[in-house]
Amino acid sequence: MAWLHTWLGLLTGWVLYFMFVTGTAGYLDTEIDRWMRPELPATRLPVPQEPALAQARAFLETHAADARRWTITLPIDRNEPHLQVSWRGAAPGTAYLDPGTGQRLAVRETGGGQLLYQMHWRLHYLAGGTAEWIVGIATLALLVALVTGTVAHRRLFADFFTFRPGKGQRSWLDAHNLASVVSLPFQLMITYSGLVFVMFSFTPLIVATWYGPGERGQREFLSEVFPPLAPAKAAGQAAALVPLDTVLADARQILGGGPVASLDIQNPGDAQARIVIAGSFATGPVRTTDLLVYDGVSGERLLHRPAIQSGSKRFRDLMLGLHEGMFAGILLRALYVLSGLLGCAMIATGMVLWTVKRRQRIELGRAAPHTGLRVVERLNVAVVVGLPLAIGVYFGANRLVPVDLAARAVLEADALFAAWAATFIHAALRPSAALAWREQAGAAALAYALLPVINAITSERHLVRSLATGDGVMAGFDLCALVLAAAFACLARTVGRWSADRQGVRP
Amino acid sequence: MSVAVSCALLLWGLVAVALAMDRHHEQWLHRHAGPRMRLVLGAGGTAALGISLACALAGLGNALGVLIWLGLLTPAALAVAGTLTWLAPGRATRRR
Repeated sequence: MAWLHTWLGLLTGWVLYFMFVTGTAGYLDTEIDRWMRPELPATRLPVPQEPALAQARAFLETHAADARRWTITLPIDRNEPHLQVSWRGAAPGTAYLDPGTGQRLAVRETGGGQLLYQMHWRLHYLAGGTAEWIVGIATLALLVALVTGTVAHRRLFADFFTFRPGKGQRSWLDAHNLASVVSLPFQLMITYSGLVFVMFSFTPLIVATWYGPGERGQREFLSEVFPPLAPAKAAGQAAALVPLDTVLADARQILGGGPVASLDIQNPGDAQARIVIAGSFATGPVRTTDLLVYDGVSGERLLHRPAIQSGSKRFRDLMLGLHEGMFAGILLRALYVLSGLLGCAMIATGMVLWTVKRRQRIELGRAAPHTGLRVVERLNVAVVVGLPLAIGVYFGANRLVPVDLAARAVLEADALFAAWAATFIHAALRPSAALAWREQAGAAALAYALLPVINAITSERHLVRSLATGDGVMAGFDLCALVLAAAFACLARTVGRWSADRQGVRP
Repeated sequence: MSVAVSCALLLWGLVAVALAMDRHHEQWLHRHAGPRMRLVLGAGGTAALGISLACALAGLGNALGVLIWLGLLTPAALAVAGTLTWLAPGRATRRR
């Protein structure tokens, strides 16, 4: 059991660490989004829906009259704090609107926190299918590692509260156990539910057994699980769109007082217009909502698909909902982030433990140094501190890349991965791993400490102003950056002290 | 309100469970715990944890109650472990 745990962890640890760091940031995606778009005002919820909807419609009618499809996202909660419209067709686009005046808000182009959240499973540069398999296999390995780790850790309850610092390998093992055991329910939930996300691609043979092999069977299966909503082809005949207030009122009644989250208007201005209304997916752990389809001309309700359809689908929605945590309020969200950070710590301490154990054996003269160990030692530095450093660079690039530059969002993301690549080169070139740890932790501390400063220089929303105006999201980001800076500074200092100690002991 | 009570009982329960372990008892109180003392602390701590869960369920409903209680277990256990490591005057002794 222990050997399986060790080698699965070693082989998938780096990918898993990336998934945990970006995924944990994903629990704060909306907050990061806001910081990365400092032009957006702080929203005061609730926003009255009728006037906001009227403004959105007026905007789309003037700016996207020829579009095939309009989507209006209403500001309802933490997940959707802004009035947003997007349109598809010959000239697709998206815009943030002021819900009061209907003015388009000039917002910089950025991937925001959404990009961090999405690279958590898309791995950014990779093709969708490839990334899904890598992520799926790593997740499966983590599930096995969690179970084998729990079994191999025979003193789980006896060591529940135990951390013995300053004892080398023993301390790393304690830290690894403590981080894993106190957050074990979360780690099991997040891993299992992560697998539920990839279940359709991961188990194609089950579908093939019932629906026949190949693409056709898959398509047939998916259209049965997720039946299309009363689709309609454009008639090519102009007809006025129904007043949206009447549709909104009917939908609200059916949703039983729950908010209307979005309107998806297909073929606007056509005789065959359709309006699909969705409630909030974030009302509870089960990530589902009623869907309503209206005739876009007469306003007649054509279809009502209830939120709960079958037990198995409900179970899937529960797993996806628990994983994403969209329903979580401030307290639960903070706990999600804490558990995510402990997941990062679990993986990082596991990776370091692997090297410390082998290094100690060498220092005691029981084994000869080998390349594998040196490679893992250096890779650990660039992954464990290099990645957060690179994410800090991503945030910095958001403020430093000129606002009107074309394709600046791509540039921001490239800055992240360029910085990360640089940390690998740096870690490989330094004379010792300890030095690389110290320098990269120092650089990360500097990067995060600079973020509030860069923010103050390049935007109107510096920390003092955010605190004075009660803008919790902007202030919270800057303060978190300072906390992270302090944490990395502590890490740099601690590593520095360790290497100094060790040099003192050495002849 | 019930969340605050739940938190307090959770912390209290974990402290009692920790003190029911000889190693932590010695670390914190500088004496060995007799078998009866350990039993009382363990049972009392477990009961406090149970009541804490019940409070969370009553205050937040079943779904959110379970989630938030399991979530709170994490910082509470970390707090107890941290206190034992850095604030308890005695050193942890290893027992096999």
